[in-house]
Amino acid sequence: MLHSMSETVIVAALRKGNLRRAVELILDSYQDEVFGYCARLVAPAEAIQVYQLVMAVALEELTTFTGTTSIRAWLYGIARRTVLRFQRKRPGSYPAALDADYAPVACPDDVLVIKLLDEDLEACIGRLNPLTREVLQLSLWQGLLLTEVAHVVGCSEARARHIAAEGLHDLSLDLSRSNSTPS
Amino acid sequence: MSGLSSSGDIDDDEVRIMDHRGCLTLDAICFTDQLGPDHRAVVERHIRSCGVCAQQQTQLARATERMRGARPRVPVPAEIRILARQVALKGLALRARTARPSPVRQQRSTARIRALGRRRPPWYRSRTFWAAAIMGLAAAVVLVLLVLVLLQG
Repeated sequence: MLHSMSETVIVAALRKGNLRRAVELILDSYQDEVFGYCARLVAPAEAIQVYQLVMAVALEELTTFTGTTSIRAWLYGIARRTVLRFQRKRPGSYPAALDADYAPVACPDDVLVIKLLDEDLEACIGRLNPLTREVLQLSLWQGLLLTEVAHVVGCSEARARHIAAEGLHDLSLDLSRSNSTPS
Repeated sequence: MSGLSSSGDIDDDEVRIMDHRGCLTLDAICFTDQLGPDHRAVVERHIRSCGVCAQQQTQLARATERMRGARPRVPVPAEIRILARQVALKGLALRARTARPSPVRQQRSTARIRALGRRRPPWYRSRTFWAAAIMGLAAAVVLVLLVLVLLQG
């Protein structure tokens, strides 16, 4: 509900050509979750660099936003592409940023230790196929709809649903096994 | 442990609701809130009458809730929050500057626009040409005469 309200306001600002307002709203509404998403896909120390790249790319592509999907899914799509590009040609060279002074900032390590409290669950999630894990994280942790997940990972909604359903099934079986196994 | 192993055999555009045994598929049991109203009604009706599917749904719902509850929250560090805003707004300003035409380009386009209002009629061009030609010829004759006078003198 909150997201759809933000979406409406951002899209309205874009239609009016008020990029500044749109960017401010995007940052206010989505930066924590996009950062959280990046922080799970790359090493914690690299999350800040990747996050800044994501925001730079989003800013560059903002005027090309066509509205075929939500702003949120569009942003996650950029984040995913940026992470993939980053992982392919790490480290050092960054694509041209908008600002000449642009430089990634050193990361305060203590902020970025992502460890689940539920260790059994963490182990089970770790055993999932990477794409399945990502689809589940996008839908259950990031709260994206399956249509949005499909847009982010580049498949049809039915396929995203299938991946998520199979993943949940595997997860529930694995969880029940690990619960029954004495540690 | 993969949800992808059997993903190739699904119809890419449609959600299969029932399997060959007459039970609900996993695709139908999960994320029912995101199914269309017709499909959702079928699923709910079936769940009420089928113990196996109801149990399956409970198990999946439990796993869903457990995973949802474990969502790690990683806020953007404060300094990055500020930096991201600064970079974004600087970037916008930069874009606005580059999108505006340079002074030289602007001058040229202004001159072109002004010239549109100073279009000459077609006859003007030919008369001007002939006048210039006659004047040029006269100047040449005068020059030749001058040279001859100087040589004789």
